Amino acid sequence: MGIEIIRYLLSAIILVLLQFFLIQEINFGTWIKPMPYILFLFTLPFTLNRFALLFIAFFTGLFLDSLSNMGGLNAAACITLAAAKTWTDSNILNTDAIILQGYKYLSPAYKSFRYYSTYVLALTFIHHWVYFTLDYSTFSAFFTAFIVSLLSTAGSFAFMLLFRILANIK
Amino acid sequence: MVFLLRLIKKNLYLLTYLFLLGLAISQVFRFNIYQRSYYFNTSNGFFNSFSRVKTSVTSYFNLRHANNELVEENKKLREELGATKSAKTDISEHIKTDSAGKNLYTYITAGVIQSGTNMQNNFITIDKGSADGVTKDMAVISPSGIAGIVLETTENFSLVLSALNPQFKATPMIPAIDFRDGSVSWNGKNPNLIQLNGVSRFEKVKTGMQVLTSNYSVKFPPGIPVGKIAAIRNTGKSSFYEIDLVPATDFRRLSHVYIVKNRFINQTDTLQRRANRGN
Repeated sequence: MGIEIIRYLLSAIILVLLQFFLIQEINFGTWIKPMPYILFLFTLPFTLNRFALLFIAFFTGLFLDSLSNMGGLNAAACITLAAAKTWTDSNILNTDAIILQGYKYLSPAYKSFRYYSTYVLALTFIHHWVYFTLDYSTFSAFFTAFIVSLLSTAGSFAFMLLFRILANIK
Repeated sequence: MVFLLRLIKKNLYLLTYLFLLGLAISQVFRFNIYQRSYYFNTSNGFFNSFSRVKTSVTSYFNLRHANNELVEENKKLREELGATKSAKTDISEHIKTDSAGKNLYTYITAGVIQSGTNMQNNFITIDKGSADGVTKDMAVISPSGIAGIVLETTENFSLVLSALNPQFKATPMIPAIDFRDGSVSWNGKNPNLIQLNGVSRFEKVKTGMQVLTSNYSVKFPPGIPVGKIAAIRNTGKSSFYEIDLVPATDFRRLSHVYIVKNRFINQTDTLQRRANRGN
């Protein structure tokens, strides 16, 4: 259990630092701003208490915020993602069946890749949408924020897949 | 009371979520438009040290660029120095008696720790603070053009409102057509283009014209490059052009900046205030 916690802590720190040192430094253009660090939240087990998930998400976001002077943008987006994930896990996914098959969290190996990507894309979009709406913080930019979150979701997803592949090679 | 407790217990998750969301958003909007400045003050050296590590790595990649920029600036300054020296032989007596001939601006050099371009509200963190004489509202310029305005200072660091922030405004002039009006600001869309507003359709602006800071500007010294006109659009809806500028400063590769100290800003401010009261 202890090793498990340290592993999760390390993966959170590595992903946030990757986001801060690498991803944020790359210019993907005006419309794409990927944030693949939220992959960490998708790798947390279904058995985790929902309050614990909420606080873990909050502090993950806050960690990145304090690194890059962003107020509470990431924290707000991350807790919304956590709440949405809790809701999806209990209302849409059949978590008991997934756990019985030996998975701790939803992975592409369960059912199909399409199933997995729908889940991740939808939740990532919620995160990005909250983030960019708060970042633009005007209603006139509502549509811009929407488009940016949509395109960034695709970018984040691509990076998440890349990270997954890299982590499996180890 | 029991009912209330039961209600809280039943909705504890929602309440926790709302509490954390409120906490996060209050951080975002703490200082209204200047969202990040509060956070800057409270965040301690620990987080800035991460940024320092980052800059110590990335600055190596920018050395060639920074060097070229400084050489260019040096060349420009030498040319200007030569020009003033030759002019001075004729009017040196006048300059001596002119109070404006005193050094109006003094400069503080600073290294850039962090310069954002990816956000909607971009900020620059620099490694000089109140201990070095930096105060709020001072202009910040890069070797190649304007960079921003100091927003907050701590003892050893300052947070600068980048020109790539919709809250930033500067007064421009276009020397080629002797135009001194309008304002420069960023619309938050493309970090490679900033916007020049308030240029009437009767002005003969052309692409490629140089835009400098105007001598009406209180914070910025006059004649600092703002950018070059890249595109001029006539919407037909208003009597003004929509003009895009390519900023003179490369914000992505900003490594060194100068903080401009206007020695007489207190006096000009007082005069402005008096004039406003008179109205």
